[in-house]
Amino acid sequence: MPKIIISKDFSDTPGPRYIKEGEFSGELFRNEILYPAVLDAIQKNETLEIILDGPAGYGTSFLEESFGGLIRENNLDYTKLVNCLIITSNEEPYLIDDIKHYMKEAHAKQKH
Amino acid sequence: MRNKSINKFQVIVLLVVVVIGFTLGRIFSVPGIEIDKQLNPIDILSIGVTIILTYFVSKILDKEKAISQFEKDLINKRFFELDELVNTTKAQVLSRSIPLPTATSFIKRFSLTLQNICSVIEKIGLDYNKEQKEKLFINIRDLRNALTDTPFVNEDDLQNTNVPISVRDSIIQYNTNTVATIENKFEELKTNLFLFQLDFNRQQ
Repeated sequence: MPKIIISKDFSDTPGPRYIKEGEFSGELFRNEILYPAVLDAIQKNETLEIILDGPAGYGTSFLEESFGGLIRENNLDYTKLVNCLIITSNEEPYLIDDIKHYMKEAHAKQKH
Repeated sequence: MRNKSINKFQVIVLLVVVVIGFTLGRIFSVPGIEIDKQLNPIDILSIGVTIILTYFVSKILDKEKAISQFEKDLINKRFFELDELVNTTKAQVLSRSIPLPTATSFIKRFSLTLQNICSVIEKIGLDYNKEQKEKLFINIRDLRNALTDTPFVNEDDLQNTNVPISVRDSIIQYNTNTVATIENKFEELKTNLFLFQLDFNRQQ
């Protein structure tokens, strides 16, 4: 199963929401790493594991822009996305629910 | 000084008790009651064993109490670290700007330390208030959103200096109202942390 280890594949210090706001933003992560990997996994009908453990911590807007942005900006199908992603975190398990909530909210806004 | 005065006091009490006992013995010689002047060796042995057992049981209990207090003191030190962490981060936020990595790492350090404290409490066979722990995690989640949830913005918004929360060069800036909201959330977290610690220390 393909996987993304954020601390190894992106940064130990994930940053703000937008590229213009500072280094290692959610927008950058989504554009360069997450979206291509998710697209590939959906096309191959595979699951993609995202490992959150490792970095110094995540801001709300980084996570929202990364995962909610897949629906809002990249127009990915919500159901396909949810079925494709396996998110893991032993250090901060509540982040998994938060990310699911961001994707759900982006989907709800998209419908309106 | 203190030990000497305790010794004097103890000697006086002992003398008073002996004198009272002797006087009462003289005054009340109850007819029909005789005190056996012969000693049964089994009874003496029984009294001796009881005294020795009492001594060792009290020693063991004292030792266990001391260990339990030592463990509690160590855990209280970790609570103190958490409180310090909250105070330091809060002071930075009150200055209306904080580096984004400082804010995000505060949330993670707080969560991990709290998880560790709870694991240690379980390992040493003590208990903690699960409901209070959940409240703390809700507080820290609220605080993470208040500290790091920057809105969707366009270029015009970035030029506006009075947005509630904005980020430039990975430094988060807050306006006065946002600082007040965040300060309240910090206070709520501190209160719940204090209640959690209080509850833990009330256990025997």
